[in-house]
Amino acid sequence: MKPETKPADICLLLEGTYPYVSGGVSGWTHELIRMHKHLTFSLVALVSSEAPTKLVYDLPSNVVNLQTLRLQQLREGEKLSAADEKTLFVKLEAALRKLQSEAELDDLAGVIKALAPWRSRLGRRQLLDSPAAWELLLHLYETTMPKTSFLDYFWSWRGLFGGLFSILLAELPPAKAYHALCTGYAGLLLARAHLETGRPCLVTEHGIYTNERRIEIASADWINDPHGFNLAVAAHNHERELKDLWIDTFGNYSHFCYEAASDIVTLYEGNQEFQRMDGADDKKLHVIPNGIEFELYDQIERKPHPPTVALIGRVVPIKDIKTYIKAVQVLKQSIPDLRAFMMGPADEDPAYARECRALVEQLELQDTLTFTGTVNIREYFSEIDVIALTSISEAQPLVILEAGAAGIPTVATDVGACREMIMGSRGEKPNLGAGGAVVSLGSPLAIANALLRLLTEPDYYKGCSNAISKRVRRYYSKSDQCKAYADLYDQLIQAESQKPVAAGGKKPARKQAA
Amino acid sequence: MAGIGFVLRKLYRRDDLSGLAGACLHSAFASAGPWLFTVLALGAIAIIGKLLVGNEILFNFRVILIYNFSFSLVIAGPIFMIVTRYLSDSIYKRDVTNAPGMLFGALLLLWGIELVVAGAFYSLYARLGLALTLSAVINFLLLSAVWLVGIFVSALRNYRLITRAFLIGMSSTVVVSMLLVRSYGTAGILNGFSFGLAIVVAVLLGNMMAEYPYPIRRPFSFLPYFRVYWEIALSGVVYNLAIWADKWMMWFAPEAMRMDNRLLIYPLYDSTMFIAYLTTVPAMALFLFSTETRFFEMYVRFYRDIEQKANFAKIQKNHAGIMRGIFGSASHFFVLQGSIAFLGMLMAPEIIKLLHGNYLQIGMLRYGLLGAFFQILTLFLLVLLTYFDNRKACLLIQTVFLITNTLFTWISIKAGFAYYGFGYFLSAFVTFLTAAVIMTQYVSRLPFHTFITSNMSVRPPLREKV
Repeated sequence: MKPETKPADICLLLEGTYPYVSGGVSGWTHELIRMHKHLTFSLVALVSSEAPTKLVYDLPSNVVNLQTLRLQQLREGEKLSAADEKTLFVKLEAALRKLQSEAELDDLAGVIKALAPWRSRLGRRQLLDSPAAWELLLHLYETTMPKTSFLDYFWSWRGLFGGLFSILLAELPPAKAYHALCTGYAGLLLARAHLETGRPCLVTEHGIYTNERRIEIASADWINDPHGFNLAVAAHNHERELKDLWIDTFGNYSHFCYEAASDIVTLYEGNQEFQRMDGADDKKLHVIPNGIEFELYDQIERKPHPPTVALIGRVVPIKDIKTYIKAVQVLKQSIPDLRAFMMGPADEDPAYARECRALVEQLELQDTLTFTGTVNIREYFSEIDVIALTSISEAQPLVILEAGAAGIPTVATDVGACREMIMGSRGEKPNLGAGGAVVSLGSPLAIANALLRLLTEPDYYKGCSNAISKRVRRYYSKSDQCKAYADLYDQLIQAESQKPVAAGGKKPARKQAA
Repeated sequence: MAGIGFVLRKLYRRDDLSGLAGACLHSAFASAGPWLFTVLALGAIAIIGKLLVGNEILFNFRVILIYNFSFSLVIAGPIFMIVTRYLSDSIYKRDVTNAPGMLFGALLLLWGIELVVAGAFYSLYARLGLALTLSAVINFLLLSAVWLVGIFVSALRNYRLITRAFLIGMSSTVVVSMLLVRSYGTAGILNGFSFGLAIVVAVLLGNMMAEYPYPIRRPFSFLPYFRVYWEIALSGVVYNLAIWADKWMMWFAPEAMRMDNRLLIYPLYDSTMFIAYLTTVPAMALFLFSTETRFFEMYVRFYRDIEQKANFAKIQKNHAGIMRGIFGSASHFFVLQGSIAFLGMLMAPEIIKLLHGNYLQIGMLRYGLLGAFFQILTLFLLVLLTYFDNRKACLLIQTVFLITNTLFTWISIKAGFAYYGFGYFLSAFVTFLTAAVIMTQYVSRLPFHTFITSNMSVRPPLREKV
C-alpha cells in the first residue's frame, strides 16, 4: 500500500470466508459491499496458513484494497539488542500472563504497548524462536500448568501466540470505520484497530465463533484431557489444562471485540444469549436479520396439485435428510397421494446422497419422493403446500422467508433462527401467530405430525399461511436490512475518533503504521 | 535396535567382569574387524614379500595404496555422507525400496568421477607404465566400492558378515598377491589386493541384495539431498581432507622421498602416524560399546518421553541423564586412551625398536600418540553432535581441524625435523578444545535446540522438497 493512501470508508475484517471461500457468509458479504455502492471498502482477509488464496468472487469496483493475512505466519524479523530484548520480554510476560486468564481490553492494550517501540522490526525470530521467548514460554508453563504434556503446551503456545502476534504486527489499512464479520481473530484485529486508531467498530456475528470453537476444543483428542468431553470451564474443580487455555483465549478475544465495538449485531435473538455470556454489553446488541425481496415471491399463482411437501437444501448430513425421508414415509400412511420433493444439489457429499437414495428405495418411496437437484424454487412454489426443514444446525435459513413470502408455512427443527422466524421473536408485539411449527431434532414422527396437521386442517393452514406472510413482509424485508446497515455505517463514519490508546510508535491518523 | 547394540547390551547387563570383557572384545571386533584383517594382510604381504622380491617393489605397492586410500576418502567422502544420510532417512521412514537403485546410482556417479580424476592423475602425472597405471586405477575404484557397499551392509549392523567378508577377502589377497609378485612385481601385488577387495565387494553385495530385495529403480533419487544437506556433503570433504592434511603436507618436506614414478611419500612420518592410530583401536571399541548402550538409551528416552507427553520436569531429568552419560563416557575415554598414549610415550623407544623402525621416529611417535588421543576424543564429540543432527557445528569443528592441521604442519616443516608431528598434535588439541566448548554449550541447551533450532516443523516451508 502506498504510504499516503486515503482511508477507505469501511474496512471489513473477514476470517476464513470472503473472497476466498464460497458460502453463506461470503455471499452475504458480497451483497453487503454491492448494496453500498457509494462507500469504499478495504478488505482484510484472514486465512489459515495452508488455505489456498484463489479468488472465488469478482470484487466489486468499490473495493479499493484487499489484504490477505496468513494466521500464524510471522515474518522473520530481527533480533533486538540484549537490553531491548530484556525490556520487551519483561513487559510482554506481564501482559501475556493477563491474557491467559480473564482479560480486559486494557490488557490487550498492554501487549500492544509492549510491542510498540520495535513494531517494525519484530517477527518470528525474536518473538517465537529466540532463547528469550523460550524462557518466557517456560515461565508461563511452570506457573500455570507444570504437569501438562510439554510438547502439547509448546505447540499450543506457538499456535495461540503465533496467531496473536501475526494479528498485532500485521498492516492495518486506514479506514473511517471497521467492521468484523465474526469474533475470533477477526474480532481481535477489530479490537486492535479500535485501540490503535480510535475509530468506531462494528461486529456482525452469523454463527457464534466461540461456541463453535468450544465444541471443537472439547472434542479434540489431541488435547490430553482425563476428564473427557466436558464443555464447562470450571476453573476450580480440576487443574487448569490446555483445553482451558484455548477456550479462555478465544473467550478473551470475543470479549475484546465486544468491548471495542460500539455495535454488536447478529441475525437472530437466540445468538444474543451467547454474546451476553461472553461479556457483551446489552446496550450495544442489535438484531438485524437477513431479509428478502418480498415482491419476488408474493405474487405466485397457486396451481391445483396433490398434497405436496418439500425440503429445500443441500443433500448433506447436517440437513439430516434421512429424518425427512422417514417422516415422508410416516406421512404417506395418512395421505396416500402425498408428493414429496427433495430440492437441492447432491454433489457435495456423494456418499451421503447415495445413502439417502438407498433409504428411499428401502422404504419404497420412489413414487412419492423425488430428488430434483438444483432448481429455481420459485417455479415450484406454485405447487408446494408446506416446507420441511430437518437440519441439525442452522443460522437463518432464507428458504423459510422465501416460502413464507409466497404464503407457504414451514415445519422446522428448533435450531438457529427457525423458531423466531416461524413463531415470532420475543420483541414481536403483537405476536402475529405461528407461521408453521417448530419440532425437536431427529424425530421423523414429530415432523410427520406437524406436516399432517397443516395438510389436513384448512383453517389452521390458512392461519399459518397468513401469519408467516405478514411476518416476512413486516420484519424480514431486504430493504429494511439494507437501511439498517446503511444507517449504522453512516453513524460510524461520522462519529468522532476516540483517543488512540496504543499507536504503533508513530503519529496516528494519516501516517501508515508499519 | 536389533543387531549388535542389542547383543552388547545383553552382555553388558551381566554383572561380572567376563561379561564386560566379552562385550568389549565383541565390539572391538565389530568396529575394527575389517581394519585388523587388512592390516594383518598387509603385514603378511610385507613379511612374505620380502622373501620373494626386492624392497622397491613392496615399497611402490605401499605408496600407491596410501595414495589410493587417502584420495578415495576425500573424493568419495561427500557421496558417502549423503548416501548414508539418505539411507538412514529411508530406514526411518521404513521405505528402503530405493536402496538397490541408490547403490547403483551412487556407484555410477562415484566411478565416473574417480575414473576421470584417478585416470588423469596416474596417466598424466605419475610415471608408472601402462600395467601399473591400470592396476592403480582399478584398485582405486574397488576401494571406494568397498566403502560404498559397506555403508548399506553396516546399516544392518551385520558386523559378523562384514568381518567374515574381510577375512575371506584379505586371506585371498595374501595368497594371490604372493603368487603374482614374482612375475608381475608391484602390479602383481596391487592386483592381488584388488582381487581380495573384489571378493569383499562380492560378499557384501550378495548380502545386500538379500537384505534389500528390491528392483533397481530411481538410481539418482538421492541427488536432491546434496542441496538440502549440503553441510553433510561438505563435511565429507572437509573432514577427510583435514585428517590427511598433515600427511600430505609432510610429503613435501625436505626429507621426503621423490620417487622415479614422481609420487611423493614420506614413509617415516606415515608409518609413525599409522602406529599411533593403531593404539586408538581399544578406545574405538569402548566408544562403540558406550554409545550403543548407555548413551543411546538415554538419547532415545529423551526424545521418546517428549513424544509421549512428558511434562517439563521429566524432560529436564532426562536431559540431565544425557549430560551425565556424555560426561561419563568422555571421562572413560580420557582415562583409557590417555593411559595408552602416556604409556606409548614412555615406551616409544622400545616400540620403535620392536618394529625395526628408525630411531628418528621416536619424537614423531610421541607427537603422534598425543595427536591421535585428541583426534579420537574429537571424533567422539563429532559423532555425538551427529546424533543431535547439529550439522553446522560438525562442519565448523572439521574446518577448524583442516585449517589448523594444514597451517601448523606447514609451520613445523619450516621449524625443522625436531618439530615434525608437533603441528599435527597442536592442531588436534586445538580442534578438541573447540569441539568440547561447542558440545558443552549445545548439550546444556538441549531442550531449546530440540524444540526450536533443530525442529524442522518450526522452520517456515523451506527447500525441503525431498
